Amino acid sequence: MGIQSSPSQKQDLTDLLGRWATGTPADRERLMSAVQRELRRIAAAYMRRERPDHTLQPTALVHEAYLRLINERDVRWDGRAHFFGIAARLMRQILVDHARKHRAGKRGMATRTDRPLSEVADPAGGQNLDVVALHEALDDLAALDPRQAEIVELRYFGGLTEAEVATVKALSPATIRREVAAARFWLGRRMRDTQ
Amino acid sequence: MNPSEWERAKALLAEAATLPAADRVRFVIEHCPDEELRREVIDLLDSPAALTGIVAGHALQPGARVGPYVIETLLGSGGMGEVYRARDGTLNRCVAIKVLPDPVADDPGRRSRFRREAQILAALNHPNIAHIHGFEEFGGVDTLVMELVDGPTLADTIAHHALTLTDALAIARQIIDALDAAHGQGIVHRDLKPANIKIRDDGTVKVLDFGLAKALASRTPSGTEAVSSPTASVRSTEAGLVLGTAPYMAPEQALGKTVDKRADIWSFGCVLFEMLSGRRAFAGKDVSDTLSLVIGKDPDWTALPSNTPAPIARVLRQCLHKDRSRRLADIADARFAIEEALTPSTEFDDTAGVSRAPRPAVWWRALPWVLAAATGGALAFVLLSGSPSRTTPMTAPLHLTADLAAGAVLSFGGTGSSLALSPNGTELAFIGHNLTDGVPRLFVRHLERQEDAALLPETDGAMSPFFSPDGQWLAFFGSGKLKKISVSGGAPITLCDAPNARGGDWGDDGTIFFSADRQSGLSRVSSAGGAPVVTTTLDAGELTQRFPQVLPGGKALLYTSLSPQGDFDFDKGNLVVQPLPSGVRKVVQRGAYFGRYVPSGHLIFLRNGTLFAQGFDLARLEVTSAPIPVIDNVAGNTTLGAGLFAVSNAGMLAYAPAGTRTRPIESIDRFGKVASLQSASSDWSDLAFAPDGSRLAYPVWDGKLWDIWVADLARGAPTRLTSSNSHTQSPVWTPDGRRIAFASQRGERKVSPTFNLYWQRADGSGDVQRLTTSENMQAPGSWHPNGKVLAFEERTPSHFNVMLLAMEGDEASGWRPGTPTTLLSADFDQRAPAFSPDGRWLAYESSQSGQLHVYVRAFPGPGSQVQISTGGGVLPKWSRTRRELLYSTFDGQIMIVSYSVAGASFKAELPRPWPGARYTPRGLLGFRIREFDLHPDGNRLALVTAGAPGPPIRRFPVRIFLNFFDELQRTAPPRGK
Repeated sequence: MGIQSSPSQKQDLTDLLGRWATGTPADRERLMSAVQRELRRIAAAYMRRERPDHTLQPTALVHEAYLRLINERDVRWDGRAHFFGIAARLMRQILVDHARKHRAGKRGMATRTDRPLSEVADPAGGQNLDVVALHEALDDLAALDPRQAEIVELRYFGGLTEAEVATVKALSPATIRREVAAARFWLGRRMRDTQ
Repeated sequence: MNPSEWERAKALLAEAATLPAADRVRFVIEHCPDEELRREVIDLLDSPAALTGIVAGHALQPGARVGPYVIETLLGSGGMGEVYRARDGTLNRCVAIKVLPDPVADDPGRRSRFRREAQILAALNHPNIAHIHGFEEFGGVDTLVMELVDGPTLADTIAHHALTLTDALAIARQIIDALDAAHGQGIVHRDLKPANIKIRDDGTVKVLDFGLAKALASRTPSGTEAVSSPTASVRSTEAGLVLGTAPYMAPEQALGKTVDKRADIWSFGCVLFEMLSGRRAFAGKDVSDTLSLVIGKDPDWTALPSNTPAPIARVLRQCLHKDRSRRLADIADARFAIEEALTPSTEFDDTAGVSRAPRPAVWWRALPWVLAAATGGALAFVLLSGSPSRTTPMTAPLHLTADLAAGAVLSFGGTGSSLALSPNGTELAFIGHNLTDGVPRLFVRHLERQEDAALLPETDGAMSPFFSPDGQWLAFFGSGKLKKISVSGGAPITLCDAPNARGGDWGDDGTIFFSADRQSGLSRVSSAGGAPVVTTTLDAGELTQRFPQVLPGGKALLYTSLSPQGDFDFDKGNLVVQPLPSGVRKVVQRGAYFGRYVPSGHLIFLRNGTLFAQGFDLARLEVTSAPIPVIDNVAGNTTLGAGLFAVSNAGMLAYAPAGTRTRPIESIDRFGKVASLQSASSDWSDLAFAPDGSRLAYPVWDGKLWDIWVADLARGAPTRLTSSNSHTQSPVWTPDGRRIAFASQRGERKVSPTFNLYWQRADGSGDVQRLTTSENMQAPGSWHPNGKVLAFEERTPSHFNVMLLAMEGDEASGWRPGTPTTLLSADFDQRAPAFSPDGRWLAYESSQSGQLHVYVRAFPGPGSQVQISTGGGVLPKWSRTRRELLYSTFDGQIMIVSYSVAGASFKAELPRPWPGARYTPRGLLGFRIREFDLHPDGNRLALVTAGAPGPPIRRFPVRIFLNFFDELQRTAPPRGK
């Protein structure tokens, strides 16, 4: 059941995160797999909870993972933002895998059952989004504008705030806001087209 | 779009996003010189609501509460206000809420316009017009609560491509129906455009936003509103609106002249042109350029696909005539063109034009789902008519408004049940949400006193109340505890912990059984308090045990269970009986929740929004008869397993009706092939074909009353036949098709009028004529083919009898009703009479055997009766073309019985099902709801299908049914089989 978040391991991961930019590929691999395990565990626990009509809040999951894994006090803010950047990519994979698997397994049955992990909350307060549709629309957007797609990924699947995305991407928050705003129109169109 | 174009588009989009939605298009038009890119960007701006609600400064933010609704997302905004998608948190369904924004809320002119919009919209009741549910004020915020129509707008659908001819005409026809109905009531849309037209998954077209519609001068009683003056026109087309509208605006509208229904006809022409060609009829570089095209240039007719049928091309030109005096005068005329185009002799190639949006293969497919809650609005009214067991019959429903209780509304079951009746039925306890702070608290209303419900102190967050056996105490859950409080006053007393309670019940011996946690077994505790004792544990196949009831005698518990396959959908729940103190538990009913044993000897429960009853043997803890639907439209929460009903030992039922369903009417042929007869934005019942099959009469529930409407099946749009302040139901056509007899409460000055018989000309001319006057509830059944005798059912204080009413006179000298005579009367029910086509036989329902069956006997007699149905049956109908008699089983399957007649003997064969002809019965108590009728050609059935549930009824949330047990005994005998 996931990893134990003992103080020493926490410190270990915190160090790894601190060395994100300078660490070896093996270090990154270790960090990634630890984060992924934890995210999967939390997501699965989420799925077992009673209310099937809840929409997944990636922010909540990612923060939960962060608190379990990382010794927060010792991480610089940009390290923390990096963590969420990693988590966003992993979260996207997990959610899409789950949604697809669930869909395949439940095809033809009531869709109610696949809701917990097939929708994410729009962080900007719009309506809930279909994970798979968003994922596919994001892939299309990446072909047009890879940087914008990454920003959206951080914002939607990582639950990062504009300021956090700005830190991860080394851009101004205003730019992030504009990129996200424009992307929303494009994605909305795209997702509707492919429904 | 390539990356460099996208860079430019992005800049425009990002900037536009900071503006109010209504101003974005204008911004893009003004700042994007590249026409191609501009189109693309505007197209993106018009993209689905899904991802556009990011602009700050809206009246409401997601999560905000407006009365009972929680705002989810902004759908759009315009000069008249912002529209939000909102969720009713307790019933888990969505509505559209239009909110007058704060800055203008103080402007009396706008406010009054807004109110008018509500009134106009509320008056429109048509399947192709998005319906308004209500106009409500919440804490100073004015809102319109409207039908939320899911699906793309026509603008989304035709953004880049033309539709196929078939799709375009199917959509056009429904737009015509909507406009025709509105114009018939003197209402002009004024802003018809693709963005105001939505297409649901089932193919139903809904015209949205009659926000600019104004009643024509003739319909304005005071005459004070200068409806069509240029200033009114200018005022009402404020910033933003003119932009989206310009390409569809009639020339006279663009010039600021008076506007009438012909402006809509122009706009319709523009929409049809665009659907067929994939191009706007008038598309200029900017708004002024567009308007100059509208005023001075013809559309490019060559843009129409070559397969456009001649009648369509012709009607398009007629619609788009600049001179409105030469324009198509009546939108209904466009319908003929479409029909002409669709007749098989007109051949066309349906492959031109590419339908971009993938469509369901079956355009009119039925909705595949039915949610828990449902309809039947006035059912309780009729259920209560006549009360055999009481000296003073209670003939009107007792409506309790929960907002009598100091601004609270009934909770629709957030985490618990919400209703409880004291054992003697004198007091109703309910959970009410305070309208200001949203906190649920416990209220008690004394039913025999005319006074407000009393708020019980210190009951914040209360849920799942239940009475003590002596009625002196109420137990409830709150703050993770089980508590009790005296009904007559005092503070609550905590009994024990109950962290996530899911209901409880107070046994006669003073032991309280309850579900302490949502995924646990049941516990018990003394009503004096103490440590709870675990009583039952979850079986391997159980996720939960909840809403227990101690069965009389205390020898067993009845509870609602759910297996892991149930997906927390309690429509898949199980009712389980657990003997006490121990014993083998058994599932007594599957696909059911919130089971309650009632002293009439029945187990009642909810399934798919319908209350069912079946016999239950307390000694053997077994069901003794098949479940029968008794009341539709009972609110329940399928993710919680709670039903919003309660029963007293004295035989009273209190329940909260769920919202009104919208029910499509389908026709089904003898092979089970389904076609749509009428799509629906309303609830209807009692289908009755005219004798020539050209028209269909049925009562429509408008949210307050049933009134009869008549649909001309060739033209489609139904028109209202009756209109009064009383319910009007059960239409029955005279054999010549001239008149419709019906049951109505009209003309009564009493507090609780009863249903008597009336008739009126089917074309709506002339007055309504009363046919009978009686204290007893009556409903027409069938006219004898001679047209002079009406068989009807009458409810005496003891039973339903079949009666005859002879009409005297003739068409020339006028008709006078004679004195009714009794045909069939016995100490059991006999009802729903139906004459055979030759008038020699009468079919009817009888409960002689202890269960309702359909019988036939000779008319006028003498002769014995022949049983037609097997396994129970109701609602006999004769075929006019074949030797067949139809009836419905209790669970809504239409059966066919072939018969032969030899001399005086009537021989019936075994019933066989009509393929695919199944409806969801609304319950068999009270008035028969005639959910189907046979077309006079004998080959098709009209059937009201289940449809989609509407929002909960909040204004009058509780219905009381006094003699419920008597009705159960009558309709669902405990040992029916």
